[in-house]
Amino acid sequence: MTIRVHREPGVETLAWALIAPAMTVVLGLGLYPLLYSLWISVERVDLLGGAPGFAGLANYTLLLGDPLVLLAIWHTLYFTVVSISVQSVLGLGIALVLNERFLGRGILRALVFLPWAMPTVANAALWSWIYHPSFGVLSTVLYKLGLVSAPVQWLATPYLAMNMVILADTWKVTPFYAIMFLAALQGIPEELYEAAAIDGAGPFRRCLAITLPLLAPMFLVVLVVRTMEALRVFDVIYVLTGGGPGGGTTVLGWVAYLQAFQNLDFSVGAAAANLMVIGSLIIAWCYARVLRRSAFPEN
Amino acid sequence: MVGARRGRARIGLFIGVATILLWTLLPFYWMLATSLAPQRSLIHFPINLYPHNLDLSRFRVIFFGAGLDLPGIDVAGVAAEFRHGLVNSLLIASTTSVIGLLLGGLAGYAFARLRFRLRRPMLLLAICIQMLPPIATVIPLYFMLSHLGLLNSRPGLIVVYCANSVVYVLWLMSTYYRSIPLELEEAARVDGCTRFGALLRVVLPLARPGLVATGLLVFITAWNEFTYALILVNDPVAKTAPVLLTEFSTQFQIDYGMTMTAATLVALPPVLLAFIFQRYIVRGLTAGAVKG
Repeated sequence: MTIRVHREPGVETLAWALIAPAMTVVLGLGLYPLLYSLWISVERVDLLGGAPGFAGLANYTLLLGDPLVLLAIWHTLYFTVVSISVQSVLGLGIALVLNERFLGRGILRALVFLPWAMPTVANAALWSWIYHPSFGVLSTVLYKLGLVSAPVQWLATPYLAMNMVILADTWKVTPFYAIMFLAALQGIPEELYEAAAIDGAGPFRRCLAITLPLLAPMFLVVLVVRTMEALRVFDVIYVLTGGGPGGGTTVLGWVAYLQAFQNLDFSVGAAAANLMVIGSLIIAWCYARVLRRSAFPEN
Repeated sequence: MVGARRGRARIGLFIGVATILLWTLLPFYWMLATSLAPQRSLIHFPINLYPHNLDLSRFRVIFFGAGLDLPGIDVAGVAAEFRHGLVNSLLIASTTSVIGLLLGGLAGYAFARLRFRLRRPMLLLAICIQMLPPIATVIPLYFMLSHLGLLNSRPGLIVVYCANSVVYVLWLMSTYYRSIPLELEEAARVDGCTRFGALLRVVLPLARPGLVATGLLVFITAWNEFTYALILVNDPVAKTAPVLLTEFSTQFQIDYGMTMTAATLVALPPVLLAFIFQRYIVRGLTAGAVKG
């Protein structure tokens, strides 16, 4: 007599049946386009004529030899680093305030979250109106406060323009930081603070020794999500500045769009887009290393 | 001493709260105030910080197609397209949410509870693909949709959005499924349910809050999406509201009154949803992060 080991029948089949539709969509409209894009970028696919054929890495070297593209890479990094730094600090500040006890805290938490839900384009259009060179409300308010004597050309000065784009982006996405940090703050046990207070630590010291270290894991998660989003910045540039003035806000995503859909040079556009993917991969890999090290510090 | 310090802390907190409130609300206020301000009051410096008399004509143009005379721009034409764009956006975002929840919800269960070959590599692959920037896939997708005859159509956009939302859904839902006690499922199976039956009758009903949160996040993301919509659709029949919002302009200048009216209308659904369902949405956002 044999004892049959009871094996769950068909789990493997069920699992594959459940994931098949989702994975088909993901592979067909995610992986396949990526490979397709790699192929386009080493081919010559130019709707404006030009002989089709294998181009090798010519499109990439063409891009990397263009000072405007190098500038775009610099702008992308600048946007990413500055916006994330500013937004982290603001988000942390807002989260710390929202974590205090005060009248109307519930309603303030609900309101603070709302800019996050704004469509990026609506937000960009709103800020382009706020920054308007002749009738902008930002200039008006500064004028009424006596800080400027005439409307400021916020988006017509290259250096200023990029920072104004960052400000517009900051208004929309800071709530995301605040909400995530607040969730992490709420997870810190009150006893830790009480114990520290008994040991004589002031509020500043308590923040430094308890709040910030315990916030670190959530901070890393937010950093990963936001870096990926910031590197691909496009919508807000499209509406606010169109890459201008004088290329002052030209980012990598804008270069890809311009090459592919304005100049109809799909190969160079795809190459620019792939540069973004490669950049994201490198950064994701770095973060993964840091995450692993912080999760298993003894290794 | 302590009293004074506490008093100072209260004042500091009050200033913080007031600043946050103004910072959050003033841009919203300005968008709405502009949409309601008479055209003439929008074109002089320094501009009125509040409208002296309210003008609803822009909303009337968009909703009822009433005429509005502005030199050099076919406002009524763009307004009619925009109205149609709102319908398109609603159809596309809700269809995407339903399909995304269905596909991602089922796959998420497999990743959460079932052991199968290639489970981890598949999950990793899906997450990596999810991280691709839209601009990186939009060029090949443009060719693919063009070959399939789906360029400039709502189904084309829905298919692309589904691909983007599925991984997000399966990730969020798999963390949600794990929070449901395994015993409940086992009890159902002891009572004669198949695994799939237990998923349908026990797990999915219990996962409803997770499904709501995820569905809302997908809806808001799809409603707000711009890059794909801009590039893959160039026909008023299928254009979405966010894209049309940028078209209230002549070659030389933007009609900010109409643009702000359109922005208000495009922003209203996601902002309202975020306000009403905040608890669900925040839980969804943070749940996705904890496992990351």
